[in-house]
Amino acid sequence: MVAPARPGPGATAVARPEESTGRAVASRVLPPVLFAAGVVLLWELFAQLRPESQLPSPFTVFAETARLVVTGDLLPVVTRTVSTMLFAFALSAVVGVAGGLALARRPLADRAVSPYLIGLQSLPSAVWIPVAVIFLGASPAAVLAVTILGALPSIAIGTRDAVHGIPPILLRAASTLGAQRRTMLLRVVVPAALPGIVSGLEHGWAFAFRSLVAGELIIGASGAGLGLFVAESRDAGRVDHLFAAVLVIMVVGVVVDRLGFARVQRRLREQRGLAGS
Amino acid sequence: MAVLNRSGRRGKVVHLHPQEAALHVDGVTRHFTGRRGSTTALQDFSLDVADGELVSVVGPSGCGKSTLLDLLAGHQRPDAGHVFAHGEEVTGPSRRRMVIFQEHALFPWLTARGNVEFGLELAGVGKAERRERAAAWLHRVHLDGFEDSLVHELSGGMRQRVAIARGFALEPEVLLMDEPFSALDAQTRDQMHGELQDLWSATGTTIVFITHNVREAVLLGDRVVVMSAHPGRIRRVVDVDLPRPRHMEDAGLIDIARDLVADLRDEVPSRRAAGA
Repeated sequence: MVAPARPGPGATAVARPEESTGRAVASRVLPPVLFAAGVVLLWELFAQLRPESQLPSPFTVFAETARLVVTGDLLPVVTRTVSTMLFAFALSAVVGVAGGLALARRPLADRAVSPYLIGLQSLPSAVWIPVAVIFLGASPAAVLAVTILGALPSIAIGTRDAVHGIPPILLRAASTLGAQRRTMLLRVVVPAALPGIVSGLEHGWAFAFRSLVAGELIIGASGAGLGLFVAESRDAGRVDHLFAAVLVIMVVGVVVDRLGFARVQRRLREQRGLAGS
Repeated sequence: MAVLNRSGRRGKVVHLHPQEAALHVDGVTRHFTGRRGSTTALQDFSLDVADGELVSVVGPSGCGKSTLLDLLAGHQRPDAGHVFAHGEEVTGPSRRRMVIFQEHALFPWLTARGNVEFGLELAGVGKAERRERAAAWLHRVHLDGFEDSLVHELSGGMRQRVAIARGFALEPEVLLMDEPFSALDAQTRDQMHGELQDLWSATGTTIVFITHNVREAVLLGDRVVVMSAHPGRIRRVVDVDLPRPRHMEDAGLIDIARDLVADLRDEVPSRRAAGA
């Protein structure tokens, strides 16, 4: 008759051997550094052995990247891309989260819209580039449109799924405690779904960033974004600049993830005692 | 059969005027349509619970006891019949009838205090009073020092204590408890039984306590409503006139529980056979 005490969801995260700080840092930093060293070594070997491949030496690329960064030549390019990105993402986040919440709370609308939303999500947003150019011209607005279309479906779907994943018992408890439509949404549904909403935003950010760079690259009209820098480097035959652009784009991606989404996710998971925190 | 008749005489169904009863369930039927066709969770079910009474409802799984609780809470509406609380028909959830669930159902993004304050805030209680009342209730369930703990930092028993504090803090007329201690270890459960009896006698709250554990039902209830399954009906109602506070090992309690267990064991297969 006695039910065994079930371990709470927090129990999994409790026992972890204490490590010294130095060792912890080493175990975090060393693997990616060693991996990079290996990649650079192979790259250098290939560049040395096959000069006809036009592959620049990694050290040439690093030097040129460093020069571009130090001289500030890349600054307007990166600023342009990041500011377009922030604007497009903010807009997509507001519309996508609101749309996802609305869909989650209205099954009929969800049934009507979700097949197309899934379709949109699986559509490479580069397909929108010619469409956007036809309607908006080779303009920054076209780039913006492509970026937003890239981000919206993931954010809306992520939000909707996060709301669907809320344990019904929480909603029932909230309704006995007196939560009505508005308080239910703001004080219960949104906080309960927050980890899922943030993952939706994280995916949306990744899709938007890719769409933006692709849009800049192909439309080539957004002033001086990273995509345009890639297009110009290609036209000028500057392979080292192409690699520099790749490095910078990756660094922006990693920085946003580590300082933004990953940090927020970890906080949310720790607070809720979810595994993996 | 002799056992059944003897204890059957002891039980009585109390019929109160709808206005007097804390809860008045009148001829309620509730069906569910699932993938396996339609089932009748409750059929022509009537029950009165007096103000301040602690009624246990016990029965095998599938007897509709959780459905009954949902109907009392207002989370479901009956297909036929009516549910009244203090003379008013139940049409939806209300903070006058709090539910304590089997799983603690606490909000994991809030602290213990935050969970208790949540309902108070929605009820429009001011910040200072909210804080005071939450602290007082957390004290009453012996959680001093854990006010700022997050839900996942608390043990199973502590979580259920927070849920109980959260329910009582709103000073509901009725507390509906759905197997609230079934997931706890035996020792914690014994403690909770004692604490719940204390809180109940101190507050005078009407309590409906759903359980599948016959001894727990007898331990807590002024009356024990025994249900049968397929369809869910009242099989019998037993008055428990044992002095309080009661303990699981009380001889009188064990006697009554033994009768009921024998009765339930009797009834399940025979009814299945009759129904098939």
